[in-house]
Amino acid sequence: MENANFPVRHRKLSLESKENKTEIVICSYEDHILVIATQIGAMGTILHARKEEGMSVEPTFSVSVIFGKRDEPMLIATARRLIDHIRSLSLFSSILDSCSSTVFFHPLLIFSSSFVPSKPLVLSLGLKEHSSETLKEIVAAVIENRLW
Amino acid sequence: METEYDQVLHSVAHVQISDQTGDSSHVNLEEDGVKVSCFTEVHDDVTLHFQIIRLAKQIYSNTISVTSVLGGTSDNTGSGIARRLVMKTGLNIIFASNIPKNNPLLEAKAEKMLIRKLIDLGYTMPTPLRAT
Repeated sequence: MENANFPVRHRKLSLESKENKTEIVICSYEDHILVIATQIGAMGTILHARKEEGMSVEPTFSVSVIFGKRDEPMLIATARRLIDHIRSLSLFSSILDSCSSTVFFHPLLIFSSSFVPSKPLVLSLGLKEHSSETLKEIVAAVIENRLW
Repeated sequence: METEYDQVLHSVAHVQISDQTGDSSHVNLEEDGVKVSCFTEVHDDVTLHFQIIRLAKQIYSNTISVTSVLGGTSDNTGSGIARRLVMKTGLNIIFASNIPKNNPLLEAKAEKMLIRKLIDLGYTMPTPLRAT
């Protein structure tokens, strides 16, 4: 039975360039975000990224390769860029929610991000090459079509 | 005496790929593109949601290796299901699940539903290994 109200939202898109075609799938689960970007028809390297919970004003992130290439810093940088964006949007929406019934901005709510739960990210990159231009295009496309 | 769980396991083991691939010839395994299929099944008042993300590249392998990349529990139920899916379908599979623990009947039912859906979608390889 195909369900039009499936609880997991997903979005699929393609990036065409003269050399390669990149297929991107973005899924929003209740407890994490999944992003798959592939040029090779396989998942490739899989990374996990999450915001570290702490009391520091500045957020810290944990990014690790859980499958595949562990010596490609650009892949880790890509995951970090996306988890930072997920965290930023979570903070912004949390501030909007907290201000909906108040008439003033509470400074602790604005400057502390430790209580804001943002979803961790599972990022799969199956690419033919790991140039910064390609990864920037992928990041831009994912953010433009984000589900968080 | 055979329990309902044993019956479900036996029915899963007897799902024949060769009997079901008559309609799968229209699926071009060399076709580029990602296919996302979502479906929902209800079993004994439990709603199961399935999402299959099919990637283009398929490699048939006569050996099966299973590893847990994220999460996982001590009872390794996910690895068992993943292994049987690979043996039945011949596909490379990354399996993610969120099923309540200590419910082997539900796991077996979910596995059976997933195998049937993979066959219906035509994603199975023509000469899969037999599940033992």
